[in-house]
Amino acid sequence: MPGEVITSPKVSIPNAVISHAIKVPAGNLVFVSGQTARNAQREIVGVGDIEAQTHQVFANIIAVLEEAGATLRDVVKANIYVTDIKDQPKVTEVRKGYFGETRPASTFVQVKSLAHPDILIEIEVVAVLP
Amino acid sequence: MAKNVLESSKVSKPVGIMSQGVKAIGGHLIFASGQVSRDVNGNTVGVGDIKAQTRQVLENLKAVLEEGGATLDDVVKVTVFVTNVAEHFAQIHEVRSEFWKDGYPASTLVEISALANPELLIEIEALAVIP
Repeated sequence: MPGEVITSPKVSIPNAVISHAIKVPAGNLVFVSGQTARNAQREIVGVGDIEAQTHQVFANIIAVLEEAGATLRDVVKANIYVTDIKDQPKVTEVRKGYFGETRPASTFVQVKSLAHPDILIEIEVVAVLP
Repeated sequence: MAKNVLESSKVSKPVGIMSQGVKAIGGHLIFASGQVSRDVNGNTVGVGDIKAQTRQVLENLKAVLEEGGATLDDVVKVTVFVTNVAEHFAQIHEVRSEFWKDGYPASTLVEISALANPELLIEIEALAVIP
């Protein structure tokens, strides 16, 4: 592994063969695993509530980035997976509150299912350290 | 363009307008295309068997990375696309743990409605960094 494994105590440990994020010295890159609305106790926050879930997802991303010495302002790419594309306006509103003037390159797609039936959204990001 | 196309003789040729992998940023980054469970002749391996398919996919990725001078240990990020997350999640990770012992890559896993052909259950793309 040419990068550093990043683990945040504020985010639940994945029930899978994955890390929260990887920090790569070449290019000062941080790859954050797709985050879902699980809190540090692995409970799903905001069942049936896309806005609450999106807030939790961002809280997780912020926590993981923080461990790598980055913030949302350093994000250059975001991939957003939702189970219902009709949620896009709500997600976009929440997202604006976090990214503000930062407008990372983004992909937004609907998928058939995420890791658990109650999970409505997953977001992964790539950041470049300042 | 500052990139090198990777082509492994151990992996079947891509069906689409794509490379198996590409080396970028002065050779430091390798983008490996999404691999499916096809052997070098293009035949689907492990029809109906998610563990066999996951193994073949990771073997293919290994071969593509090898062309770029990297190994699975150099992978920093994977994106996993599956057709049935509820039934296959645990088995996929069982196989992944055979290939990665520690320093797991960052990862995103989503269920999609179809892959390139109906027999395929999983596709994994990877990003590696050469130290």
